Amino acid sequence: MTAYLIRRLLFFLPTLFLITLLSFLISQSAPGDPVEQMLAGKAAGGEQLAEKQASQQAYLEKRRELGLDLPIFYFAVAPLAEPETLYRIPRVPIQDALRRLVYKFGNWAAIQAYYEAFQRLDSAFFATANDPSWGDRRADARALLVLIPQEKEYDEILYKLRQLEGLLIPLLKPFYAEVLQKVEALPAQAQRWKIYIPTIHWYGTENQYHRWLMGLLQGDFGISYQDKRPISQKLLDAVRWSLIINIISVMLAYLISIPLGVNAAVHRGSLRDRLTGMALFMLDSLPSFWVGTMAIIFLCGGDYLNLFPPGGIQSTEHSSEWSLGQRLADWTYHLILPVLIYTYGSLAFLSRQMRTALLETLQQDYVRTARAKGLPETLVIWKHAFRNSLIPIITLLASIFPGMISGSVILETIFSIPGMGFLSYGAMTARDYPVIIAVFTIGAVLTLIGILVADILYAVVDPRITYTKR
Amino acid sequence: MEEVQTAQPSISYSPGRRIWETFKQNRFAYFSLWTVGVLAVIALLADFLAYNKPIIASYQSKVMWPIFRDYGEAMGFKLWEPELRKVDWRALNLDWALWPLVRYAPEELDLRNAPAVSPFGEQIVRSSAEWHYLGTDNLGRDVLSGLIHGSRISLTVGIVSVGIAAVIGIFLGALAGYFGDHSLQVSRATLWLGLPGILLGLYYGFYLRRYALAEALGQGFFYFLGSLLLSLLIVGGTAMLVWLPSRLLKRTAWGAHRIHLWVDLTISRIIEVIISLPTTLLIFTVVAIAKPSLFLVMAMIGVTSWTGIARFTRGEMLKVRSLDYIQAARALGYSDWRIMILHALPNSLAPVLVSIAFGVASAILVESGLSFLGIGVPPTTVTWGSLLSAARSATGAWWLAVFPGLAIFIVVTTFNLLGEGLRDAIDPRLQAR
Repeated sequence: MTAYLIRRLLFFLPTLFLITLLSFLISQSAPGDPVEQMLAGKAAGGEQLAEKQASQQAYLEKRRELGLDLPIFYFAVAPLAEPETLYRIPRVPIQDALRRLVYKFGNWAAIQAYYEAFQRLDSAFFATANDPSWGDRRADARALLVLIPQEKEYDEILYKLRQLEGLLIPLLKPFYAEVLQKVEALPAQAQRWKIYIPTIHWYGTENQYHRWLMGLLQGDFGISYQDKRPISQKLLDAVRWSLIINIISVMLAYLISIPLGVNAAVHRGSLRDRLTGMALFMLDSLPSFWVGTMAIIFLCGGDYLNLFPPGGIQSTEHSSEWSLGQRLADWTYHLILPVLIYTYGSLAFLSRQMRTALLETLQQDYVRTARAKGLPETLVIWKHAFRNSLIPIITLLASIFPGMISGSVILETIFSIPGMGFLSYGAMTARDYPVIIAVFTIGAVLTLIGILVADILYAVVDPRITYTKR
Repeated sequence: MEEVQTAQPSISYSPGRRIWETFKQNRFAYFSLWTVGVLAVIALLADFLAYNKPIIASYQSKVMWPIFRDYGEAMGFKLWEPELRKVDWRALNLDWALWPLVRYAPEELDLRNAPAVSPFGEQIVRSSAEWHYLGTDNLGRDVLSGLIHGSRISLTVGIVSVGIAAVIGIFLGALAGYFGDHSLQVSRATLWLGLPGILLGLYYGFYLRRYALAEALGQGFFYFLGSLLLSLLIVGGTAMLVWLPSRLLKRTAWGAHRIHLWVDLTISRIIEVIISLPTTLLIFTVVAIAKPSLFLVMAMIGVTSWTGIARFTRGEMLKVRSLDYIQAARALGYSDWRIMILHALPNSLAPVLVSIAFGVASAILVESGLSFLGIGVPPTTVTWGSLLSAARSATGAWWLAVFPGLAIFIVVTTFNLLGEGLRDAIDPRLQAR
């Protein structure tokens, strides 16, 4: 059994690693610039050169603080044309646009020359903030100056530059001419062959993923865009409610489904079996978010019955001064409906599995032997068959758990339970990517742990399991 | 479910025929097959069941086919006279007309009947034919029309995502089951040239084209499919080119040495890893971060749900590959791939059908859950899930909670029943009970 456990653990760790990789990969594909999200518009800068420089400074500092000036991963595969240090260029959209140009022309020196000429034009633009000859064209010119370096298509860059030309004051024309010259020279200077030679850059442990992973191991999930609080703190509050509800419902589901399944299996083919089978089948197909919505509309105040509170976990007057009994009663009153709805889905699934498992065991030879030697039927079922049929049911814990965690996104939203799912839903609507990623990572880790626990239980219940053969 | 004690059909039936005969005797399952058919018809003919223009009408003594004209317009032809382009056909003084059952398009906002008018409440309509039979949602969209057109989305999601899952699952499952860990051999020359070839191909086909692929994903299903095919062609072509010299290398003693590929072990590990992911949460996360796109939803469901199909196929393949007729085919000198695809696979697919039926049900459930939360599917698209979620903002609107939910329930139950029926018909072990 120890060997088996070690095997399982050996599987657990790489999978965990893969999950962190997956989370990180998804977080990298989130649109926008995380530094700008974090500064919430403060990085845009004002009209004056000094303000512009100050905001750029703030941006760079925040970026360094968040570790986003580091390379993304331990190594990178890139075309020969792409410089090793492209990741250092500030502002994600600009970096992306320059990378796209590299993929098109393959000549970094020429692209860099364009970008530097553009930066000179940009600085010169801000230096002329008080020039009266601008008139009302300045705002338009500024908008174009923001857009041009983010533009991914070459033709669009040229088009926007031509638009800009008519707006600029004479003082800036020489700077503009330089940019235009550099851009127009790009196709002629292209070195496309450099795109087709892959290279590998090695960056070592000073990279974003490594920092993120190390933070993760210490329980640091980063900072929420919405309220700038550490995510771990927000998660800690939320995980409690999700776990309470999930554990209560899993236990309830097991408590109800085991006798139900046994009963159906024992009276196989009877009317009772058929009726429970039918009812369970219906329950299995009932989408829980539908039942939840119906329950809220018909049972929780509103225009119809008023049996349950319309969501939340405690009433508004709930306070820590209440006696424990009062507080528990309040929580129970609020959680009955959600817990019931959490439970029924897995209940149906579990009972049906229990029935099948027991039916299978009842066909075994040792059951026939037990019956043949005249043991009473209850003893045969509960002592000989039941215990053995429990094994597959226990492993089902592993497959119920992930479903419950993701199911809680919808149900917690319907019932406004401040758990992980609700947190995640709020983050989804607010585009608070770090929180979404953190919930996914935690959910995945909890799932993995659930599977590991089920595996261990499986080995404990059935001593034959060693996994040495296979 | 219904236990069917089958009179064993006579032996002259082929296995497929026997499965079908057993399946037909399960009334629920047989009925569910018909329901699927009806649903498919509703989805195909949605425009003729619910639309804001007549099927055929005579206006100012001119006979027209307005719905077909709209089809033409959608294909890029200019068919409408300017004065008829944006007109409300219900308000026109038509000589005669054949209307769809529901005279509203699914996304159409009926502002006079907003927000949320009950089917039995007061509605402001010109005639009883324009009644909102199942009420309207909080924006004044007709619920029945939304349900009819929503069936398209639900069925598409179910079929496409399970289709993706089936392609991946059957391919990998068949590989793992047929070849196991010892049957697939390659020469050292092929391995040492082919592997770098594939890696280089992935670099050209996918890594360098990643921006193009991402853009194609945003443009729609067929753009993406085309772009994906191009990528695959590039991968294949590059790998072939790099692999070509291996024919020479094979002549050396070093290159000719043959190596077993651990196909089964590798694929089984991949399956285990995917099973241990919380797939629904993964889909929610990816879809919430990416741009709303129905195809992305389907692709994500497909990519995460193929493991069941792969395991079924693998198991069947393991059984089939040791049968006599496969040995006979080997003795005839057929290649492994030919035997696998033409002879072994067709006999391994029946249990996969079960997985496919259950897969459609759960894909539809995931999609409606996503649109219930309002993520993944573009906000203007009316789906069953989005109609149901309207019930949360319009308090007391029972019709918004009941009907869309009922639609989801019926479809999910239907496919689950179908799956159960197929399983009972295919798995003789269960028949014996």
